[in-house]
Amino acid sequence: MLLSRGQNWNVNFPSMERICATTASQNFEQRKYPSIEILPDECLFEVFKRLPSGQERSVYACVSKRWLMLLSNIHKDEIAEYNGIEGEGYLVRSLFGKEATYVRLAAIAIGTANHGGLAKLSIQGNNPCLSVTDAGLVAIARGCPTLRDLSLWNVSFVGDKGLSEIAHGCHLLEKLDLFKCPIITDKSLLDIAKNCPDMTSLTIDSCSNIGNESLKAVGQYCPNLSEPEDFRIKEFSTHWGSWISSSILFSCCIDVEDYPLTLVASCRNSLVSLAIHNCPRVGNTTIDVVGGLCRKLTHIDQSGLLRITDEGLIPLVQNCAANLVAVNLSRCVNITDISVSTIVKLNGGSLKSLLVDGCRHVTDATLVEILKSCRMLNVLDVSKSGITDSGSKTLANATQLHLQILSLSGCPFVSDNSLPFLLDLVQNLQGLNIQHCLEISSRTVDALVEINPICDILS
Amino acid sequence: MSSSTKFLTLKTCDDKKFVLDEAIAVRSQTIKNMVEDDCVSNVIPLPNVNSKTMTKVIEYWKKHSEEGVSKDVLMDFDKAFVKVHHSILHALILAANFLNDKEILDMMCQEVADRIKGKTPEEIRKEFDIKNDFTPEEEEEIRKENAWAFE
Repeated sequence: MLLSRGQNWNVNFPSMERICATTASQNFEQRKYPSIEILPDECLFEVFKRLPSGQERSVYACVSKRWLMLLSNIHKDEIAEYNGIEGEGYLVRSLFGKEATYVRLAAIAIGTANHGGLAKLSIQGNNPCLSVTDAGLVAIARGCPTLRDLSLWNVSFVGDKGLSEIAHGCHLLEKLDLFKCPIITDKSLLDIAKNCPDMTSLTIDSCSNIGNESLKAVGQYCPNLSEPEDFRIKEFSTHWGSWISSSILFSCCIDVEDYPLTLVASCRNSLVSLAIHNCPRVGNTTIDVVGGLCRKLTHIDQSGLLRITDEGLIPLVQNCAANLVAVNLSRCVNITDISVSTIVKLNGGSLKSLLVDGCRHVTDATLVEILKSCRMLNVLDVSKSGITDSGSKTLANATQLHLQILSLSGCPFVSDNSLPFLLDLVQNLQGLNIQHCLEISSRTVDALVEINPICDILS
Repeated sequence: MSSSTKFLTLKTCDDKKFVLDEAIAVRSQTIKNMVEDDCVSNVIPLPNVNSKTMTKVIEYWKKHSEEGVSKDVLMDFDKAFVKVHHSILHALILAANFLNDKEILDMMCQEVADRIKGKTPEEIRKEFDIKNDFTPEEEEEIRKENAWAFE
């Protein structure tokens, strides 16, 4: 102890060795008596509660780790002379990789609490040695009641304790984005649902312990806090992978109480964006249910739903009030021209982005429908689809469009014969992807680059 | 309240015994609970408190139990009472915490807080004998986040 103190001081103040030696020996003398360090946390807490809030607390937090953690764990209402800010915070903090330590979080909690207020916090990844733990989030929850936007990506040591504290301390929370948080479970999301009535965006991606319970809770509790038509979950996305069982989804269709029916039912008046991707077990039945309820959708992302077919998709798009803006059906390998043409036909006036990458049953027929109906389309991805040179001719004829991004990557039937049409198209494009098009030669590519050098051409 | 005065014997960790009027000793919530629960035999052991600290505590208890003492006198007494070395202050906090005497605890914690106020982290560490256990990087981060407070 004595040695390490001496070394530590020498590192910081190399020219003060003599002073250090005397200080150290004095300290040793004093060690016979209780130093402030022997006080248990509860007593130090009592002391800290009596310190003025604001600026001075930020100074005291620099004393030692223990002081920092204790100071950051005091509830606002426990501080005798609390004069911190209330209401709107405006500060934004993002921590990446090794920056993401609990010490840093506690420092943010104390530093922002009396100096603007934290509005947005994003944590991506862990410090391998001093990873973000619940203690860090507890500090944020207690010090940052103004927090409205929280993202936790790849934060493997934060669990329910931390997130529940957020639910209880940050009632203004509007956005929560969880990605790869393996130990967060339904328990804390339930707390979020119960305590944060202003939630408008919830994204749960690859969190293996979050399941139906919390999503049911979102459906159950949030509408109770306000009128159902005010229920403002506007974006909901999930990425459960394969673990959600088809039987649960099947039961959804019979038992109205179950998720996703409850959730979708309670936000059918407001839900504008629905994303269910890469859930190979999700099939037509779920899509059917969603389609029957959501009429205000403008964004649909159902990429990687291998089992959905035209039969499931058509009722969904027919139910939407013809104002879809972005549709992503990439890798939905079983859908065909029939449903994609329907989407294009019904939403031609609003559709700006259509991604059907890997849908091999999508062919020139869809492009003909685009020519007939679309007026707004900017982004079109028909990679690995069944379109041919005739399709590129159709697109080149669609002069009403202002296509900016086009991907024909991996389309086996697009060849050098498309050159005249591509030359027309590329003049207005910002990006063109013709990678893995085996029938397109480098001469064609050169010609395209020559005619529009500004266009970003991947080949 | 009661006509006959009852006495309690308190034994500190260094085996010193203090004989005290029960009416005074029950200023400690811990002792009061023991008395009320009837688990007081002859001697009440106080394993967390030494005799030096207990003497101070009893001095306070007696002064604040005296009859006819004016508020001003008590305030002066309290002022003088807290003017002790850090080590005694901390020992008194520990004792008050164990004895569950909120009055002493509040007063002592306020005194420690007053001694902390207005000091820099370095001064606090030196005065209270606290080891700086931040790594240089951590300390820089904290200083940065809280830099406004040092302006």
